Amino acid sequence: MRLVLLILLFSITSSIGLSQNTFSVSGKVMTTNNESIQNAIINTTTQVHFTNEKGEFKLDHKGLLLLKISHLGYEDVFDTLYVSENIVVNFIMTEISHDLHQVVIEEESQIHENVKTINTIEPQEIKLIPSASGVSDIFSALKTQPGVQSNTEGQKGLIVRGGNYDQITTYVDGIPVVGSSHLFGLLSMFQTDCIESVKLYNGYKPVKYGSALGPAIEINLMEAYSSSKKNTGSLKSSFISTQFQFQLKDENFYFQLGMRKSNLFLIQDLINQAANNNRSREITPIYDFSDVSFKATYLLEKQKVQFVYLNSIDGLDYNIDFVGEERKYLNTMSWGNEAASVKWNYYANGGPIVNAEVITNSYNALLYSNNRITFFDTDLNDQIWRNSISEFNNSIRNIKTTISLEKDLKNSSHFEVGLEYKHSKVNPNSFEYWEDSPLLDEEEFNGNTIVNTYSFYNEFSGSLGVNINYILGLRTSMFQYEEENEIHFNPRILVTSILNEKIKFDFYSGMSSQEIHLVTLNSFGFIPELWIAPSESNPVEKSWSTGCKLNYTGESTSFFIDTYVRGMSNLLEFSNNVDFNQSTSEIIENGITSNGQGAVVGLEISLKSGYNKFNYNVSYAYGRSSRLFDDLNQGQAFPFTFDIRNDVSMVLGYEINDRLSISSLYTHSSGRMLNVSNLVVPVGFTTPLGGAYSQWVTFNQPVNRNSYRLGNFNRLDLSISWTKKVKYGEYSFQLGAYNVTNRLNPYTAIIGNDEEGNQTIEEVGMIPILPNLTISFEWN
Amino acid sequence: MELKRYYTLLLPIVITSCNWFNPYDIPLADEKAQCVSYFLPVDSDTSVCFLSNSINIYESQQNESFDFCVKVSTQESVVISCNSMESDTAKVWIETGNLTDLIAGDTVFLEVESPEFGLLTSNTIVPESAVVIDYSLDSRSYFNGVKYFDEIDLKLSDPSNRDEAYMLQLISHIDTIGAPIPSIRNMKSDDQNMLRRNFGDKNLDNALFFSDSFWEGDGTYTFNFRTKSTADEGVPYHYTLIVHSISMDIYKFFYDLEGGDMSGYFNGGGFDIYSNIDGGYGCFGTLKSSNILLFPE
Repeated sequence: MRLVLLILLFSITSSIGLSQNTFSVSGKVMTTNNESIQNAIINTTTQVHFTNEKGEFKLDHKGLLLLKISHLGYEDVFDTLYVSENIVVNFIMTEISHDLHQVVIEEESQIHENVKTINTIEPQEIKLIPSASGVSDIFSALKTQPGVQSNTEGQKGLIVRGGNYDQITTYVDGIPVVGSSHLFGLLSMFQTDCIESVKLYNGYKPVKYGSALGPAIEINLMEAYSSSKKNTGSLKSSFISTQFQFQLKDENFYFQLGMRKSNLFLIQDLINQAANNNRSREITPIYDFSDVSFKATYLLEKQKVQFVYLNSIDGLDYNIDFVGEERKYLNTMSWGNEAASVKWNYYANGGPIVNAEVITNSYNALLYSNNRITFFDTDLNDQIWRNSISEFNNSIRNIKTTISLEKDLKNSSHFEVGLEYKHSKVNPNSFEYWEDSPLLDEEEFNGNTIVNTYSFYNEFSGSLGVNINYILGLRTSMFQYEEENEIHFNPRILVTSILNEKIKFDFYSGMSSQEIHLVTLNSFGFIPELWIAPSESNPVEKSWSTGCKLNYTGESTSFFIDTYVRGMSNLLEFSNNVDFNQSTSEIIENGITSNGQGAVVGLEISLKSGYNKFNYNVSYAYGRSSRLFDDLNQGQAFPFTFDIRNDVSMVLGYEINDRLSISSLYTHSSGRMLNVSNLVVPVGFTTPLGGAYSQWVTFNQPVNRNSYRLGNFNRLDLSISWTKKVKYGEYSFQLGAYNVTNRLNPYTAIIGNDEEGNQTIEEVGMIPILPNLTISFEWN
Repeated sequence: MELKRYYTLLLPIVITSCNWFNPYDIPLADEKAQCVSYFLPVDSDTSVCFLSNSINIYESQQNESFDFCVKVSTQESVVISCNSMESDTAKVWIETGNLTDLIAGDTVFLEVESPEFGLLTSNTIVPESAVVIDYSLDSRSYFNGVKYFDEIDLKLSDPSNRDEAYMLQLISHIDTIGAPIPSIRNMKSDDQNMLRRNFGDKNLDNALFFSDSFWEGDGTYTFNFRTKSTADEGVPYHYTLIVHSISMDIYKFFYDLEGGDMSGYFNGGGFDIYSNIDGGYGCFGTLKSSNILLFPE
């Protein structure tokens, strides 16, 4: 795709340049060890050049120049230059560590931008990892990364390095998206066919990415051009979903449309059957999701204009009917994203690029429960059945404008500076009441809902000597809310030492701020979420992270070990005695404990290798994530909800022949923590008429918050693919299953009763085996 | 050396940004606990103390029997009684009549000992007796549109400048031959200062309890409450109103039991229930009771 882009853009620019004088572009192509690469191919679409024995090259050009540098055994290097004077530029190529077809996710080090500890995932790699839907998905691939928890069934986003899912932000062509998942984190809201590349910044995070404490995921949607008008697309359908993707391009214009709708009703009986493994209750889970993505770009000489629109909706009805009794739990959850952006790029003379963009996005999450439970009516002096209604309905709306400038400097240095303004409006809503005694007036939230953020960031990357590269960045933000002005300085640094040809050592450290809080309740049942704007008592959250990473890259094997520590402050948690019968304002005022701290330590190991047509990718992550609040757990530390101690994933792939391949994904993870800190004790009483009886009383153990760990998570996914190329495209069949063993991995727990009527904790899973048969057709 | 220099320069960035604690330093809570509920009527010769084991809701379990002893003492006297715990709750009768006379302000000590768990201790202060100034019963004087209620007025005086608390229970008696046995009655009040003990469901029948924190002026307060009139018109009946003066420990315990909303879906993981038992949970308190006979006028 990039090659097409190169060819077409170069055709445009070279045609402009023919009538004018040209300038020379010269330089050298080297390895990461500063050794010259002879006979590297410099592809400028109209011409092909080769480097000489000293690795040098020279060509003539004027205007926008798109370059692709290739050499056997090295990763391709792409670059864009605007040539208005004689330029000397050097390129450094990185050795390829794996066979092209193996099921691995490469660690990419783009030396020409300096070294970055990022994990880059290409679409062809995503496609080889089994997915819940049968259609390849970026979330499935990301969860095989160490540090990205695989145990996130039931969550709305990814959990990385001991934070909640609000701490990781997905940037889609620069648009920050919250809760970017379908099916409770099983699938992302982006079709893989629409994606050009994915980068996970879980070590060093570029300073242009703010507003979240944790890592960033950068998703770049497809963009390509053609000398003649051309359309490509795909249509894929499985038991899980049907998706359609269409691209239209010419020499200046690119258009992309992706649409997807779930098909889960096709296997509803199977889902019901799998979810009902206990005769005492009948569970009916009905899932539904859909998404749309749209992108259009237009090239005009030195300028590019881009428009992107995203929309995603998820819904779940999860009803539990207890057999033989009136007790019923009716739950409805839904969440959705809608975002749009307009972006403008200007490629100025001499190489600087000016970017300007306006983004608007919104997120809404609803949890509604109607539970029929017993209630002691003192007037009737008897137990009666009543419906308890609970509702959490939250929305976030953001408008963000950014203008930035970036430029490549001499000696492979790079400089970027930007200004950003963001306006956020957060509407938290929480209600709990009896259905037969509805709220007469749903009191409006009277706390702060608005925060304005003004940010300035600059980042500089370069080299210190021969074997050390660095990136230095500073993001300065002023958060304005109510009468408060908070100024945060968030420096970030990455230093890479190239120890020898195969071994590199990274040190990274950085700080981040997050202006919008997420408070979740990890008690029994579904997880309600409350999003809160900052206020005087709940100031902006801060975090820091420091780590070391040792990388080994051999001919067919790559390995890294990454160890890190993280600290967080100004965190929020629900208080022990939160009363959801209160209004939202009262809950936030009385039921939230603020000024909490977080501490995380972790170790991540990744091994990727292969032999002939067999490839494997094994990752392991150890983590410890704790929280500390003065007013919770008697001021002592307690485990965080996602204190996931051990997380293992293993991908195996085997290419039987050119058409047939098979792959599997196995994941094992520790369970997450539930806030079951109570002791149930029967307390004895006497009555004035001489009787005695005992009544259960639930005592909150003051130092036992988040004490219950759900069971381990184990899952095996399988996939076998058959592909045939034809002259007008490609069609394929994929047969597989998510959760082959049909093990209902615990998502949460409910209070149940054993055969003797004693209360017990019953762990409840959500996702049974999901078989898939996918039929795909792609045309080009 | 060059490398070390750079990393040394980086350390201040890390250190200055530290908000850090040891994430491994997490306290371990007991998996099992004991609960004592002992509301000692100081005017009675005997009393009953309950001891309970917590129930492990994580998994079913079998409780093994064990012996335990309860020691109640004052400055001058001690009584001890023992029993064995067979299931999750056991009670032991204690001859508290052998204690020296307890007067308001005295401290009573409690120790529960067993080889199965650590020593449980507690103490409480004997409350003042209730000072009843006046009372009255109006038969079938309140009609809610459906049913008639008897209304009761009770005027109490504050016996001291200490914090006092009270609890009311009502027993109805039908005064005919072959009448049903006396029964505990529900009470209801529009006075927001009176809390209804809903927690015990049918067994405690909405006893009303309150403290003297809201009493003003001359230190007296008139309580008004009602109970449903169940006797047919013309059938003779009367009530026994039991006015308990309770130690503040009992008041706080009952108050928390009523304050915690145990129903609803999103309970926040438990409520803090008052306990004055060191080494366990529960409540040890004393109470003084006086009976008032109420006949319809």
